[in-house]
Amino acid sequence: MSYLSAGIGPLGGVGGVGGVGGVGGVGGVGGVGGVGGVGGVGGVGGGVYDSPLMSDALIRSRDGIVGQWRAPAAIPNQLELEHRDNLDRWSPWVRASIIDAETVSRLGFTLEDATMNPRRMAVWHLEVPAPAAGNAPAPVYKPLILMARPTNAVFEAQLTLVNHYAELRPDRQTEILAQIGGGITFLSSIAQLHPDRTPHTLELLAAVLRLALFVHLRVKQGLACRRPLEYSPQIQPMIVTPAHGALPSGHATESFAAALVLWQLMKASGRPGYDSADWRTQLLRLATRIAINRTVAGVHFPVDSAAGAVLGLTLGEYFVNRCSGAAGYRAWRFEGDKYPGGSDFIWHDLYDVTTETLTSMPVATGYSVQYAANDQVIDPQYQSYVLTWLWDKAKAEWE
Amino acid sequence: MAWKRVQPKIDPVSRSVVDPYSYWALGPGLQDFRLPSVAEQSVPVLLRRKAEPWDEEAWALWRDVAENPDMPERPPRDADPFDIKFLPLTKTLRLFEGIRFRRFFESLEHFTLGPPLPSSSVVPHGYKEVRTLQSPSQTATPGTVVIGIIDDGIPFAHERFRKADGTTRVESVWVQHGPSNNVPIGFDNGFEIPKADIDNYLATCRQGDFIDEDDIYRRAGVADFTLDGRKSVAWRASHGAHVMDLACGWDPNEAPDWRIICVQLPTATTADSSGASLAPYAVKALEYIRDRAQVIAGPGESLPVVVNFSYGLLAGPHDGTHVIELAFDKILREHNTTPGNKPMRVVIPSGNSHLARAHATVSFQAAGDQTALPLRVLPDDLTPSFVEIWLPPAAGAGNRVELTIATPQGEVGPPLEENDSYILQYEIDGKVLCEARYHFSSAPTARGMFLISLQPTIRVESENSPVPTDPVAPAGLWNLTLKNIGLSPQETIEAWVQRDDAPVGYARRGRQTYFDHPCYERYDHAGRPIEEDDPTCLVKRAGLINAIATGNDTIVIGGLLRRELRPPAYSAGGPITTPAGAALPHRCGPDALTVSDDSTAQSGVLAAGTRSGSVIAMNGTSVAAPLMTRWIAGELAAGRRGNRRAVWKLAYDKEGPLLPPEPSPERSGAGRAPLPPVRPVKIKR
Repeated sequence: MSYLSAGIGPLGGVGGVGGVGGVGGVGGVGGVGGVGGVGGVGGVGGGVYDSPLMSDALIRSRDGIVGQWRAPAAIPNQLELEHRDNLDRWSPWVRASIIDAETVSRLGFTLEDATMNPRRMAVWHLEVPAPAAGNAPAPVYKPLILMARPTNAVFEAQLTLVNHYAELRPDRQTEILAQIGGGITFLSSIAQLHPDRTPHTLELLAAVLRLALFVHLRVKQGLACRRPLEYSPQIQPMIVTPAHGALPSGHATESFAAALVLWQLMKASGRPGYDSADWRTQLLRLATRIAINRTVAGVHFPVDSAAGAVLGLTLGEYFVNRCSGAAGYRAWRFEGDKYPGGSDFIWHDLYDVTTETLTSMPVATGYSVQYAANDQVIDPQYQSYVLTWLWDKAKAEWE
Repeated sequence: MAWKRVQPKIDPVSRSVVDPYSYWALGPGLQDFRLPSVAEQSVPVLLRRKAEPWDEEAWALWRDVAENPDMPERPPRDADPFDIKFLPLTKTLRLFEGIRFRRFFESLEHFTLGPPLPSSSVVPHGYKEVRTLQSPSQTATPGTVVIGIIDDGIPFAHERFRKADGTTRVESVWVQHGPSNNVPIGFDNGFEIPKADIDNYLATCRQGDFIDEDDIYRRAGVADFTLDGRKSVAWRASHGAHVMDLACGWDPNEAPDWRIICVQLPTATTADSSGASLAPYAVKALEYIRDRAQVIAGPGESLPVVVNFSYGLLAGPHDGTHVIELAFDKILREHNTTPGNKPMRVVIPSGNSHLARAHATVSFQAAGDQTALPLRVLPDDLTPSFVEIWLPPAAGAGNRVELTIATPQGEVGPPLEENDSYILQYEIDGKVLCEARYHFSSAPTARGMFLISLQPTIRVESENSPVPTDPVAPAGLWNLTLKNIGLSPQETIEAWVQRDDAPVGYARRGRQTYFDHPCYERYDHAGRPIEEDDPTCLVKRAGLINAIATGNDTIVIGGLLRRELRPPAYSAGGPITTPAGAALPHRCGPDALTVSDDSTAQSGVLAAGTRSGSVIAMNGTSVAAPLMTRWIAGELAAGRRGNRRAVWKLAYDKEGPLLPPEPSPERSGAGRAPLPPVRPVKIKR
């Protein structure tokens, strides 16, 4: 494993290995900091403190020079309450928990009731005005994405595509194995990600990956879609089928979300060139390839990738807008029951790379449609300073 | 009694005309010949007629069996001796029964089948009247040359085949399988992708400024995963991409006016190792390239053409009379002797099977002598295996040789004689596991052969049954014994095992059967593969030249290591068999060698993967042939001849300053001709 992949591998771990996501996530992100920018300092301090040799030496050293106890000549001011500058003081893994609280605490999940057909899983954004005078906060729920499960006929028709894609298994084997834990190392083949050079970008990408993970696993639980191998004994995937639902594809959700956040960040840096469609096209092709490789492997239907792409791109944009203090975001619907069963996953049918928007299909027949013609409004005064702090730090790495 | 002699229920007239593989394909081998789970199937049939014009009765029968209303009622006067039509499989199965079609078969020299296509890929009713051929993109210039590529995995959207203005140099692609929604005019199957469509794809399959080649191949129907069938161009590398780059790939800014016409052979043919011939598809492919080149040239004009056909077989007559060789030679000769025509050349690889142990020669000192040929049939071989044992030309119809076969379990069959009208079958539970028959190939082959056919050694399933119900031959050592009755010591019997191997990138289904004789040493004491034959051993390396590479007019190219300047161990060569009635063979092996590998350690040469910007290494005489195709294209563009003789001259001139040893003429023809690399290499030559 290369230095680079060692550095950002734990992020992939967060993204891919669902089961221990929560706990593993915290540890994993600690890895980013440790190996990353703070690595050097951590090296001097970190692990060495724990050794009996060093602690004994420190005891003896103090004993040797401590002298008589005296009151300090002056004491520092207290730090500002709930202040963005304090974030610089904490370990990256500590910040990861703070960031996750900012993202996950603003999400709600519901299943539409039995009056709806199909019953969609709804993901909500919670706008939380600051409470006054000791009152409890009163959040307002706003739609983020609604996802309907494809019918069994759709999955049955999709099975043929999974069988056809199996032809490419020998051709894609190394990629598929290298992407089992997620495809973030592959992003670094397009944008220059390195724990020493872009520690905050990696922290930002880890944050959006954890956001994507929370959401897609929760939606998977809701939609409870069977994997291809449950439909046929002849799929015989070339890797172990993960023990969570098929739709939406986690790899698709994560890789599309990460791709979008990365190019929006690069673009926001203002460096000439990063605003061209070339960078985002290549990142989207990469996300697509990662998603399709899961179909080649035999663990996902193409419709899972389509759902994951729509979810990932919606979440990615929502995340960027929350970070950058935008006044809204675009809510979306994935109407899986309207997916044409025999259709492959074609990313550019879903997203227009020139206008940088998801393409809304006709409401009556389309499976990927906007929730409303207007953006969902979020008040910039409730912007998360934590997310903004991270965004600004990461953005500075690309200028 | 598992072995028995059987009188075949076949009219003796058709028996002498029909390619013996066809009997196996439509008989005991039917389950491996037909496409699984396809209800309606069509079989391409290639005829070679006798020199006389079509007889009315024979024509009527042919017209009836072809079910083609476009065929005129009266036989055409100037009909080509070769004709290819698709027949429904059900109809083909009835052709040989009884004597109904006797008059038809009497008018033929040869009748052979190709592997079937789904009937949905075939439109036998012709399109001739309905559409006119699209005129070419631009008129030809003095430097225009046409390169034809017959291969698998044709990357027609690749930048190496584009011009500086971003449009393609590919004039058209004929995909011989797939939906018959745009069958090329004058042909009966598959679909055509014209240059206008490719240019339109290149302009519209884009995100931002980036061309999306995945999308192009998906929309063109060659890599659409909603469709059945192999998608060679969806892979990182394909045989066709590598070959085509070597033959005619250029940086768009440097590309000369080399126009490209491509034929994608049916993937079932490429994957086929059942012994069914690819002849009908290959011959039609060459005709297509010839005809489309003529359209580019315009009426009354002509353009030079060079075609690369990097395919091969192991078994065949090896005297230039394989049906593909005869048809190619005829097409070339006709074209090149027509006044006003610019030259047309075909380049074929010499084959990669020098060490395949698939060839043996047998001669006898005296009558009554016997020679055993142990045939190693491997387990886990999902495809049938075939051996051809060719007898020397005979003056009369006597019996000079007998063949007996012993199974791995030692059950010895009754003898099969030269000119035997009975066939041998080894049966268990009424199912044929092995069959041997004598077949006399009419002139110009004018020699007889024994064809031994074996079922696969394993099966996974059968049509309509999850457990295999079709026969399986035992793996192991099948002993073929030849007994001399009337051959003189100067006369030689030559045996070849048919190719039974997977092409590049395809899942292996077959396993190569070979002659496993104790006299054959594979490695020397240092562990190196031995490339020279032991004259006392009947199993030979010599003579494993590609069985469709012994023709008169085709240019045959073997491999060469650029650093070591010797042929790689796999590069096969002659001698070829002297044709019946000739004093000497018309070639000793390939015409020349050119680079197939950069060195022993760096095997293969670099050329394009399927996607623009990708480069991969691939080796084999298949990649040497297109390098020579490229050289010939340059010669033709410069107004020179670029024929076999020109290739010899090139090799003589290049051979001069090279360090000895010069490989034998059987292995290297006129010599070693290291041509410049198409992609940069470190080895300077």
